[in-house]
Amino acid sequence: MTRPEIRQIIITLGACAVTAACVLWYVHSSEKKIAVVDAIRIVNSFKMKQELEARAEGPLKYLARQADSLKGALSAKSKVQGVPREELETLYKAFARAQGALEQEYQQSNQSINEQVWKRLNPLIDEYGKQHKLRLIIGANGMGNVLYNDDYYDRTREVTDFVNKRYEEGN
Amino acid sequence: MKKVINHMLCGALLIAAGCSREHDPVSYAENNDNGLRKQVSVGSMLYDIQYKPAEYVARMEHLAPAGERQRARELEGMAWFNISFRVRDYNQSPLRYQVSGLEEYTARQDYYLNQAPKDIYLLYGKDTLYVSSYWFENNQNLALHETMVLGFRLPDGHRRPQQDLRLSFYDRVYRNGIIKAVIRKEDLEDVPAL
Repeated sequence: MTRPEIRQIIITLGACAVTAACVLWYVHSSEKKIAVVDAIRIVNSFKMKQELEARAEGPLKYLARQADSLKGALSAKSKVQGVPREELETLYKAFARAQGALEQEYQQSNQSINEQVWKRLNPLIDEYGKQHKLRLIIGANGMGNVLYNDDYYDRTREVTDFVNKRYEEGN
Repeated sequence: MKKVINHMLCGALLIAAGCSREHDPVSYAENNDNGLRKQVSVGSMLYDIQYKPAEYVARMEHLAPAGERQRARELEGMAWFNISFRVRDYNQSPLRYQVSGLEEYTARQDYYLNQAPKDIYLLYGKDTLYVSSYWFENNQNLALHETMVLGFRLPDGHRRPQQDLRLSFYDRVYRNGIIKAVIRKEDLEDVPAL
């Protein structure tokens, strides 16, 4: 083979390699990217949720102590002979009211915290998806909508870090 | 002639360089790029958090130059903030947004007038500072935003903030969770003097 022929072959091979690289890059970049996240872990690790729960703890503890002390008084008086039945009934009603108030407060506070947490999480997870050019983020929540996924698709830790960083820095 | 042109060019360059740096504490602090103003968007609500150096407050009071410097000295030892909030694409006061009636409106006013300071704190290094000066500027629906004016007393010996300021506000009215903003130590160093 002459020198010009060898040069021609090298140029052709080089052009093929560049074309192949471009095709591979295009295929890779246009691939539909999917991520799976453990929604429960993200919610529980979201710092705002932890802070809201800490704030709600005070009133809940107060109500729990009230219910506990009424329960204690009821239990003590019911062991003493000669306590009028009306007094025990009044005490029992007060205890039932205190327990009801505690349960109601607990439910309302849980509902309110969840509402506020998702109000903040949804746009942040959207933003994460857009920044990482994801086409779909599946939230596994242990209810069977994702039966199995390996680490390849799992982005729980990255999403948790992202939402917490954005929250702490102001959004 | 050539010398004159050269001098004029140098002069023009110097003036341009001088103008490129902001000398007004108000425009400096209000410029988002300088890190003293932060915006947090939650749903349709937009919170605007403005850190106000002493020079900013003094300049806003439109005093004579000597009075300005005196006023700035009086304001030292505190960290001053404004938290404004408004609803995007809503042309009334946020206090009226989706309000069910007069009772709820009054409750909202009461919250911002009397309760809100309990839901605000400032992390300053290892210290948690609570609100020591508070004023709610009720705009009576004359503007599209409402503003809380806050002051936090800095620890003894700190005339000006020397560490990151991490503001936290739990807005109970609009159920938007906790709003946070960080003012970096580095951004506090370049505030123009009076």
